[in-house]
Amino acid sequence: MSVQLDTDKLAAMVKSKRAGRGLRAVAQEIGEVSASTLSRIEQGSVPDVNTFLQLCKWLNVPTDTFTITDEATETKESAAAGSDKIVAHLRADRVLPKATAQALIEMIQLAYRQVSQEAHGH
Amino acid sequence: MVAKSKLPHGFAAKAERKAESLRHELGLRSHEPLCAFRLCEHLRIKVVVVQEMDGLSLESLSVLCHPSGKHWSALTMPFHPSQQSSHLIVHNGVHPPARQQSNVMHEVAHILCGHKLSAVDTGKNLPDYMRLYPEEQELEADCLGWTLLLPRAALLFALSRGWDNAKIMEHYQASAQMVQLRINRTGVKRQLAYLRP
Repeated sequence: MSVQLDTDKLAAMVKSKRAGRGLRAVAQEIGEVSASTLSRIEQGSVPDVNTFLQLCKWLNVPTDTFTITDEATETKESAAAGSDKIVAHLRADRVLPKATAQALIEMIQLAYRQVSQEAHGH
Repeated sequence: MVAKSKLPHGFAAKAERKAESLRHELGLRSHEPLCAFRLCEHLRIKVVVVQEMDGLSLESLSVLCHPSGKHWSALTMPFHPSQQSSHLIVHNGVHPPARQQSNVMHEVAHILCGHKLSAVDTGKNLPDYMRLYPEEQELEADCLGWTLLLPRAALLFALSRGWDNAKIMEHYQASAQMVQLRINRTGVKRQLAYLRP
């Protein structure tokens, strides 16, 4: 089972709660989120975990408000990953466009397949 | 607003000593340029650019290699213990060479610091591509990465010979921002001013 983030819904709810107030003031109210990050999220970018949790707290909703379970990708992804936990260090923007985030996940899964093979026979 | 994290006490000095000892292991003097790719070979770290990843879809490749693709720099993963390399670094080959040096050095710094790699959870409650961003680890890797590329000894060597920033950039494969940042942070210009009559 793959879980996706409904960035449109997140963007809409953030925008609606901000209700035309200044980005800077609202970012301050949320705490640990910058005005530019907030702006990018309103444009549909994917936040990092900390920012996401902070936003859910501010919106006063559970995190699963914004998650979509995609059954279709189940077999493909678990086969690619071989495990549901991949340990990696990724250097990328804190907030990413959705297409970039998804491409990075594909790259991470490929890299994982490469590093997790045992040496003999390969 | 956002609370600023700080480096642990003595970290910068430790980074300088590491930059020196690694250079010595490679037969280099303390002030000599250290190529990130050569260091990786020495440390048994395999480095590839994203274009070399077999099996990546064309769509993802075009997103990740887009000329304006500034969103990501690199990825590090540990190899299976039975393999010859300790880690794999995949980096963004679209970035200019100086930036690549700095990207790869930053990843090497994470490995040298023994930073715990965060798990990319591909099937639990949070979305696939959401990840943690450990601020303290980033600060340490920034500091060590920069120091490995441009240690204090290198700056003292270059500035005492009257090199300008452009010459330092070329000699050490560092970007203009990196050279200025290291000159500012190390305070080498002030140190040299004391030495001059």
